[in-house]
Amino acid sequence: MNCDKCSGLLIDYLEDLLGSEESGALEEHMRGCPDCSLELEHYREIRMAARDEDLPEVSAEVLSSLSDAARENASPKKTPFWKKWSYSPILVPTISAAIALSVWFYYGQTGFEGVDSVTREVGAMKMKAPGKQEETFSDSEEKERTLAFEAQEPNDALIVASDLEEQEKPPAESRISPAPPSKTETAENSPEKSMLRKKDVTEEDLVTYRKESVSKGNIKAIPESSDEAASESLLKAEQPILRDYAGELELAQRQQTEGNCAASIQTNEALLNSSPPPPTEVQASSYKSLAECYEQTGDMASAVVSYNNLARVDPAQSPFVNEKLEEMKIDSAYMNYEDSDSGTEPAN
Amino acid sequence: MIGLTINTEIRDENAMRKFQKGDAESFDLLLKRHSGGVLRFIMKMTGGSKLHAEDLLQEIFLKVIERKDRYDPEQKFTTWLYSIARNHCIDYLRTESYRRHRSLDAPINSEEERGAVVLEIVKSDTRAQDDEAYDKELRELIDIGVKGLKEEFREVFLLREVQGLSFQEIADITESPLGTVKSRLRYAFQYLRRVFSESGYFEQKQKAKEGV
Repeated sequence: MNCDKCSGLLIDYLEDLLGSEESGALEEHMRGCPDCSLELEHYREIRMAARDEDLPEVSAEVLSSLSDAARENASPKKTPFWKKWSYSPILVPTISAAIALSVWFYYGQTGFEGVDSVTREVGAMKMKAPGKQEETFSDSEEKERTLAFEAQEPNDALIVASDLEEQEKPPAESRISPAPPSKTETAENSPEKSMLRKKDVTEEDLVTYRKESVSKGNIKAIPESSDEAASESLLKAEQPILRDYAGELELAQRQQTEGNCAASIQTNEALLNSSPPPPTEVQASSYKSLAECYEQTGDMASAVVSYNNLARVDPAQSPFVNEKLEEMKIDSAYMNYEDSDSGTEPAN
Repeated sequence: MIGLTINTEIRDENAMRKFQKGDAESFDLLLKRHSGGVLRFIMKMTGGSKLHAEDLLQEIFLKVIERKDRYDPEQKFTTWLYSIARNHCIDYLRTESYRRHRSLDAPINSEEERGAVVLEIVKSDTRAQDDEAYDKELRELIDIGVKGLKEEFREVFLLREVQGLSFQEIADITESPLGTVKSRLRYAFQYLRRVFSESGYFEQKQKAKEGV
């Protein structure tokens, strides 16, 4: 063994990591090598110096604080009540139910109110304009209030709404090319509005007034055929043509019931001649009322025509019509429906 | 701390197992046994003051408390404890830029510091008569030499020669192969011998022997 190899093994020898054979060889080399022996002596001295180090004393404060920390950690942890309850099978359903109730109380009730109010408004609008699908209203608050106020008087509310729209908007004729019907319509509406504002004006008076307007040919719902372009534009501008067919029919029937056949005939004629034509159901009822009135007044020819018209618009009424005609002992010649369509007057 | 004398024969691992079950007194026992050694390791590893080392000691034992449930009683307690202590010291050194950039082959620095100590030893003709002063100067020389070691050599030397842990434990603590631990220890000894030689310690001691 040379000095280099011996020097490399000295620490292992010092740490007792060598086998007996290596240890023996090393000891034999060192016996004849003072340098290697001295090196081993130096390592031993360093080692002794390192191991003689005294243990430093840890301050009592540090030991105490650590001991306290250990006790705090070792003690069973007190779970806060809210942590225990948060996972309990009682609190979760309770809180969920409370939240659901709160939502129901708040949104549920307000939601029903909202639906009710909307339903009422829509209902009012439907009552005002039976058979009208394209009726539009402005969104102004004032008009809504008016609608709501007038909802109890559907016929009046309909017209008041139309008047209000005209008040808020510029006149129709200012938006379209000037046309005679527009002028007449505006002229007609003004007195009608003034009539409506008078609380003593009855529905009957209003319908009568309308009927007269129709007979004069200047009601806004019936544009003059002489100026088709103007009429079309007017129809577009004045899309909601407000005509209370059901009201007029009811009026005619009431007049008939009251025995005022002449007035009833007039009302029915006005209703049936209106444009656009009233719904089929209204036409049928109107024809029936008209025929009965003619029958009562003794105008059998007109009655037959009206009955035939009734059978035409409502084929389901044909048996009734036939029965009536039989009762009236009318010749079979009057039963030609085609004649009634062509408007020819049957002869007595 | 009451009753520590009764429990002195309880093995560290059993004490730790008891502490895991909530016995705080067992922790006191472990604290009593190992706090001084860990403090010494911290002081020599970081080279800081005792006061500062105590702060680190506190942090290390708090980790022991917090991580007690992670301890496997099959593992030797000192291995686990010094793993925590060693890693904490390394983190501290890196964080605080305490890391020494001295290597085993690097020229020995802090000549003034070492020279002053050596001068004290050399000029002290009365040290043979004053063993206490001699030991103090020797410890200072060891401290200076250990400080000059790189971390990986320093930790192995301290764990083996100061703390007296086995090579296998050191290998586990430093997460290094056994052979690496041995070679690091060898280099550490060689470095310290150079420090001692350059300080004139061995020479003076030889003269003292011859004089005697």
